Amino acid sequence: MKMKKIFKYILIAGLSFGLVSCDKFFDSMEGDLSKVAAEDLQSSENGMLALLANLYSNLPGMSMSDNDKYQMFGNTARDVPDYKNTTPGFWDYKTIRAVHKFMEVVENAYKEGSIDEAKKDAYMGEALFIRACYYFANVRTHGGIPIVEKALDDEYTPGEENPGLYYPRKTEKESWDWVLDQFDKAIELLPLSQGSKSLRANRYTAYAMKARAALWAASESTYWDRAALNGSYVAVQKKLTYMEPSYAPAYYKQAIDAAEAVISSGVYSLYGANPSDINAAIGNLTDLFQTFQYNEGIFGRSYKTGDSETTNGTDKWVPNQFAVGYTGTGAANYAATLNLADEYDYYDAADTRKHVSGKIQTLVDGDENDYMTDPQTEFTKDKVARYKHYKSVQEPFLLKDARFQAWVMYPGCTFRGITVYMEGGMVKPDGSVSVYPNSDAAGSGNIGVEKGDDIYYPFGGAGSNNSAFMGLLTDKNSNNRNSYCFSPRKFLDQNSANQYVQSPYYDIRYAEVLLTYAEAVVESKQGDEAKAKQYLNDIRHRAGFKDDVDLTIDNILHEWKVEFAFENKWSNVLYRRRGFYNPEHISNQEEGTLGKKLTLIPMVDLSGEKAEWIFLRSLPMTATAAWGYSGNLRFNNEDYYAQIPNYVNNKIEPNNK
Amino acid sequence: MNKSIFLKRLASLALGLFLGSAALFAQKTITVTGTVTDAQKEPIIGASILQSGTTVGTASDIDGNFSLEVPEGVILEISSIGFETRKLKATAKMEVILVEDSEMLNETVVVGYGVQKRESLTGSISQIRSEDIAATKTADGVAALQGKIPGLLITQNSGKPGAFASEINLRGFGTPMVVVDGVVRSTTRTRKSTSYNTNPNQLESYTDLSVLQELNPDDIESISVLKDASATIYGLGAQNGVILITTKKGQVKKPSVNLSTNFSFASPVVPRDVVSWTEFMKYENAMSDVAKMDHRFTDETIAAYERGDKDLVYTDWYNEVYRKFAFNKMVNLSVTGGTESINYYFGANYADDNSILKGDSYGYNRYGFNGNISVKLLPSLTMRYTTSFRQSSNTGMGDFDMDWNVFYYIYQSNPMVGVHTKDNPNHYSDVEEHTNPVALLDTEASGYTKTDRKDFSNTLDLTYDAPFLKGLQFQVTGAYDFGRTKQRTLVKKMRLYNYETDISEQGMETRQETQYAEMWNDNARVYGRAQATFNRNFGQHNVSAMLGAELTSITNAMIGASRYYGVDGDHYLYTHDVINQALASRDDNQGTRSSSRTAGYIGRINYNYAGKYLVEIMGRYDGNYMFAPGKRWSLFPSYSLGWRISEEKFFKKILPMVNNLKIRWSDGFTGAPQGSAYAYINGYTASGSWVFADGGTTTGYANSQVANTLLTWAKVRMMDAGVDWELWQGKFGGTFDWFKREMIGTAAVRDASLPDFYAVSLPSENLNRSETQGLELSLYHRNSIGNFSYRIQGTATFSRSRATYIESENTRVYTSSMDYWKNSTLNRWNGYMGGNTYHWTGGRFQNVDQANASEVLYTTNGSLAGNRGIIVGQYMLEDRNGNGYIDSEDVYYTWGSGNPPLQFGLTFSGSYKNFDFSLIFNGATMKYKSYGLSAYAGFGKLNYLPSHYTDAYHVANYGDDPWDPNTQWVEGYWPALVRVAQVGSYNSPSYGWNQPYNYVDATYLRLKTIELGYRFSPNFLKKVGIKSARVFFNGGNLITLCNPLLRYVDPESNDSGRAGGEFQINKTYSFGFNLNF
Repeated sequence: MKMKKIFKYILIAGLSFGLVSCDKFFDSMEGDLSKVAAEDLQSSENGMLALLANLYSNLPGMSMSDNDKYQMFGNTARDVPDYKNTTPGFWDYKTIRAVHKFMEVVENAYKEGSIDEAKKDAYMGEALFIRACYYFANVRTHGGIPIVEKALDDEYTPGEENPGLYYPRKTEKESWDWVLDQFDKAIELLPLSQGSKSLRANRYTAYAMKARAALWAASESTYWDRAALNGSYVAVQKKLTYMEPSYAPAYYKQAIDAAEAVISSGVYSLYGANPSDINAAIGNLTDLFQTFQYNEGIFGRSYKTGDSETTNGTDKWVPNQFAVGYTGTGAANYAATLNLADEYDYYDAADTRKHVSGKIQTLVDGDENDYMTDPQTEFTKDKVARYKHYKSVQEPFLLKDARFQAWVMYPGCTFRGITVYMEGGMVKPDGSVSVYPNSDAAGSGNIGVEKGDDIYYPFGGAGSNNSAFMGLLTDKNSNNRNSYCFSPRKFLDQNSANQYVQSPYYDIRYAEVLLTYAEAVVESKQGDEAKAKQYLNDIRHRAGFKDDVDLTIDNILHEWKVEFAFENKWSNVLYRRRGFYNPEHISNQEEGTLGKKLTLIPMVDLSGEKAEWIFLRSLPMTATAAWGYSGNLRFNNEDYYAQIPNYVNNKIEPNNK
Repeated sequence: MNKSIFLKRLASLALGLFLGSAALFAQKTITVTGTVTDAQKEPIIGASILQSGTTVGTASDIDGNFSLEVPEGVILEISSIGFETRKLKATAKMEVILVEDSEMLNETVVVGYGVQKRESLTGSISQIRSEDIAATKTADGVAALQGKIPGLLITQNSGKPGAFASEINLRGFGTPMVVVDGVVRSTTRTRKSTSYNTNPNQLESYTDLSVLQELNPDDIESISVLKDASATIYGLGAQNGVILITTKKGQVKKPSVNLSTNFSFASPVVPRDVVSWTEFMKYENAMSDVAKMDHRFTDETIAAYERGDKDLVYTDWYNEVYRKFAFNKMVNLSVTGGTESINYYFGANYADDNSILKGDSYGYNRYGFNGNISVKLLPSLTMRYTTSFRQSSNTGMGDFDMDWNVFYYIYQSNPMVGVHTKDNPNHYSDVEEHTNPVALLDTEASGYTKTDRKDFSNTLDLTYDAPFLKGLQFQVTGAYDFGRTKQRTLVKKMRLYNYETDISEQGMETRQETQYAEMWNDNARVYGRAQATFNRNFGQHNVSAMLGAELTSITNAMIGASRYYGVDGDHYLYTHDVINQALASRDDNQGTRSSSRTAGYIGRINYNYAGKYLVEIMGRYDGNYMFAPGKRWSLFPSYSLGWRISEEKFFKKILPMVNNLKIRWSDGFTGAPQGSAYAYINGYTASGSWVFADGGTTTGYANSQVANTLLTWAKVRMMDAGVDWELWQGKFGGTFDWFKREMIGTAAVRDASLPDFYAVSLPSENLNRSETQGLELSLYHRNSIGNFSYRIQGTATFSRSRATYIESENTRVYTSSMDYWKNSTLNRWNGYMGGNTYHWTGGRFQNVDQANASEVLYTTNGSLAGNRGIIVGQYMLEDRNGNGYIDSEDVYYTWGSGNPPLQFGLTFSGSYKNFDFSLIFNGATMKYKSYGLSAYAGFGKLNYLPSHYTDAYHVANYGDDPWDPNTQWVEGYWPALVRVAQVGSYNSPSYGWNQPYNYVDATYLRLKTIELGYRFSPNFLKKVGIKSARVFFNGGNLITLCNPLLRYVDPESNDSGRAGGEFQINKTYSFGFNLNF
């Protein structure tokens, strides 16, 4: 009986114990393990670094895969200014809020005493620099923008009007001025150095970025009339999307001063300046893109994460021949056009190294404006004699600018110890011609022909699927073809067939600062012309040229193209200088002129005594498929601005209405 | 039946009738001795044997024997709880077999935290016994329930061993909670992601239903399903209903051993039927003509294969990969017995499920042990310990990418290439896309994924009958469950060689390097409950009450690691599948930990007056760890009412044959947890990373949300109106229910249209509403005609859902009524697939000219370009909006291809003498299958042509130009077949769009199970010491009625008849026996 009673009490106690300790049962749990509290972050410098890592990782344009670098590439259709496709994330108020949250954490850390005033200033400088970069990206794509300078978390009350959440657009000029002013504020606070081999922004990073932004504002003002917008638009009337040439001189001045601040500091220099010979130049220029060179790299991104599986994404750019081990990763995604190859000058000879026009000679009569649109039918037996014959497939490229040899893959070049095949046809011993012979993936048309002791293949090498043009006809729309005979080499790992390429990405190199100075001087006639000419030629001399060119805008634009190929810079030139200005056609290769993306089709000619090579200029078969992002070949002045996202809810003026 | 036996029977019947009438006059007394057994010849203890119309009677003893003196010829009523009552004429020797009856009114039904008599139920609850589950022989416990329980919508998606790809959905609400022996045992767990193209480190969380999927039917006493407000007693998370599983308990009898086995042969439910290789080559060339592509095969090659030249290679990849059948086994052994003070049940089982694919890549097996022991510690105190241990192993391919594609690889493999290279039988040849399906299935060559699970659960109950108050009982239950899942994945770099040259070039390997990954997952649950129940009748007032409190604490921990073995250039070697033997420099590891807690107070009161007027009121006060302090607890009340009209006197007078007619109503609330735990705390989460200096990464942290103090569980209201009836003591009966569930306040973001500058996602709030409504019908009939007794049960369930409030709909702008029709879901009943099929005008393009002259354009840019790609035989599409061209505005809806909203089942079982049988049908409608010609099928890319596609438009003479307007065509069901350059690419609208002929109504009725059994006569068995023995044949999925087009594509499963499809479900032929000794 006693036991029964005890049992009864245990039961009653059991039934009621929860009632007294309802929430304690939950409060004693381990809690949320998936999040970190702001207090934990601000109490240590590593916590603040973690917040900074997030801010840097969202910086616009700071990655290998950023779209607008494809300007010079064949297979992607970035021929017209079209921000809809190129700039997602430039209207990034979420990340701007993240900057503000970071500033709050820094202030709190200072108040708590976990950092001193110097540290606080350095962090704040970095935050201002990062925020200015975001707004710079924003203003250049959207025109005048709303500028928010704090986190608005506390401004929202459900069901209320919430006036504190709304910000009007400033005029475009005010926006540019604000951005440049922010760079100045960052310059004041940022340290001269963040330590050796640090990729964090320092004072000179801010100067260099300011020079870039000021040049942008200046160029846009100068060339405003090339793509002036319709005056009936409200945004134009309110000067939200409006600049004018009279604004330019002040901006050029700022660009010159900021660039000069970097140059005169002596902290930075060109990597491998004044090489002893062409091969040394090629070696330097290759090395520059293999590991981050801190004397030249002012701002950039490293892919050496410590994890051997990290890649900068360029592993896909190898020609098909090098696609290793796995299918479907999109090898040979990008190819470079003949237009780019033509741009690189020749040395007149290996010892004198003066520059000569880079146009590749294909015809005996020298009419290099002639090209074919359908080489399979247009190129016939009787035309062979019109072509200039070369002894080897690589002969036309051997005396080209060291930058071409270091950064572009061309027919017959050697990469990772393997000869790169980029050939597209054959003149058979009987004189008959065949361009892109039945080039299905199995390579059934790639039939070798004996000549002398060697066998020659229409696609360069034996086997299937390894040549640039192989499979082109049945696979026109695929990205996985080098339909353009050249392909980018700049960022590829030169030695290893590693899937995980970790070469760095430079956002700002010293060379850009030099060229910015030169352009600002030429355009504004302010600054020191002698210095400007020297800076322009410093860049060329690093590439092995011994002669000097004059300080002209054409020579400067040429350098923008060849020095910064594949680095996102040329499309920026076209945007800021309103360079795509023909309303009827795609224009991209040369500022303001008609452009067609051409390819070169190297072919072996076996009809003579010895095998020789000829080169056909042609629009590649993919040209029509690649043109026009939405099938529309026209572009309009309005395309220089992106649409204002969500403008109804934002209660601001849209563009182009 | 043997004719002579039949005559003998007839003679004895006549004699019996004569003797019977003679006895009427004599009024002689006889001593009846006999036994009462169930259908399995198991003795029934305590069965009542009563002389009809009197109180004279007795009860059977522990061996089922009885003896009774009655006047000769009277009728005896033999009855026992849970069995159908039989009326038999008294004879000196009687062997009475009682048939179990699941529908009996006084049957006890397991309900939440207790049991109730069926007659007094007021909720919608179905119960099924183990024999009915066991009739379907499958290792997948969910599939074994298909078609048997009204309200459960079940579709078997694939026949992959151990995948348990059966979808289960209760009344359209969602996946129900599973409770085993009083403890919730379905939980959320983590595993390697099963989606396409993932690496071994990617994880996904899923609702683990393994207690149901890996169910051993022989250890189950009953399964009951709570479908309405009766489920709300389980509190938060019970919004989709509850499945209650009760395992077998010990019985007071001599030890009895039961052994049952099942051996089955399985093959795909849809047979393979393709044209011969030589025919295929011609079809392929004809397809190339249509595609304006070069022929793949020269006339010489075709001629050579037709001649059967000896040196020609022909590999039948299908047969290289498929077995003729898979062989599966199930064995189950159990022992039960006991005395009044101690009894026990122990069962052990083994099941394996092998793959229809050759090689050792796929397979599943499990061992299980279930048992309980019950001890009377004191006359009023009983302790019961229940345990279950399960171990299962499941093997699959290493790379899920391969897993998804293995069928595609079979179909694309070139028969002119051998499995191994010409010169080296150890070298797999590079067939297509650098794969080889035979090599993929060879785990030595390509790797594996092995999942080993161990689940151990323990429950201890103490039951105390309070001596101080009659009818009061206390119970304490504690449970501790522990589970561990180990997953090992090896993805090997597989080198392939050129078939002709035996050379392996760069690129002829499946991946760059070998990777090995391991993941361990630990789960534990601690559960405690204390409850008091009170049960007493005061005259006509019957009262029962329950009060309880429970706590659950669940912890999960996962740790995973993987390493690579290096790339070729580095000369690294694959050694063993041990993490330590791979490269330490190429490691990757991960680990997480989480815990959850819930608590609740449970109360329930049942009252009925004279078994006529039934009332149930229950409530649950529930607490959940997910929410902010002060917002964690809530009360969920519910009630239900019943009226047994058949108990009313007036009713008995009017309709005496109706022995039960009850109307029911239930209505109650519960909560559906949603959102993530701890959302009320604002914090930073990992986001992005940056390298501040070469060689080291800093993980970024960001804050993208404000603390959410607004969202809590959705309020769920469950309603059910039902009627149950039964006539002629169970000959006919049924139930019919209307049900509705409302979800009030499901998570949605307030449509505040805030500017981007706020830059924070607004927190979710309880804003949206949805409802699910449906009907459920169950009808049964049972009868005995002489020795033939049978039972038929039919069930049908129809359910549909809709959103009744969508916050975002408030500001959404629709550009046209078509846009609204296509995209708005507000107040729209679901079950339809997105509009993506076109209407057919009825006409077809008979030749090229007709296509070019068509007034309707097939591309939207206003040119005839699209029409130039039209293939002869293509169905003309209707330009529904009349804008001149076919575009997405011309589509219409079809039913979806998922778990269909209307499903039905039919069970027909019975016995005749020693034979027994059962037939289980299952079917569904309101389902469509997308099937047939498509770019994805990649005609001409593949190397097989299913025979039914030969019924296509084709040129009258092989080799004619299909694009010549003068070419003669032969008509067929399908448009002309066309070769595509690569899978996914197409040049013709025939392939690019969802054509009407590609959408087939997938209504089907399937004979899910047929079982024929024979029970050996006990007299014979006794000599060999066996109590009962039965052998059976069982067939699964043998017959399917459906649209003839779906003869080649299974209407039930995910099989789409295309390359890239999944495993088909299987047709099985099984044999086995049950022995009891």
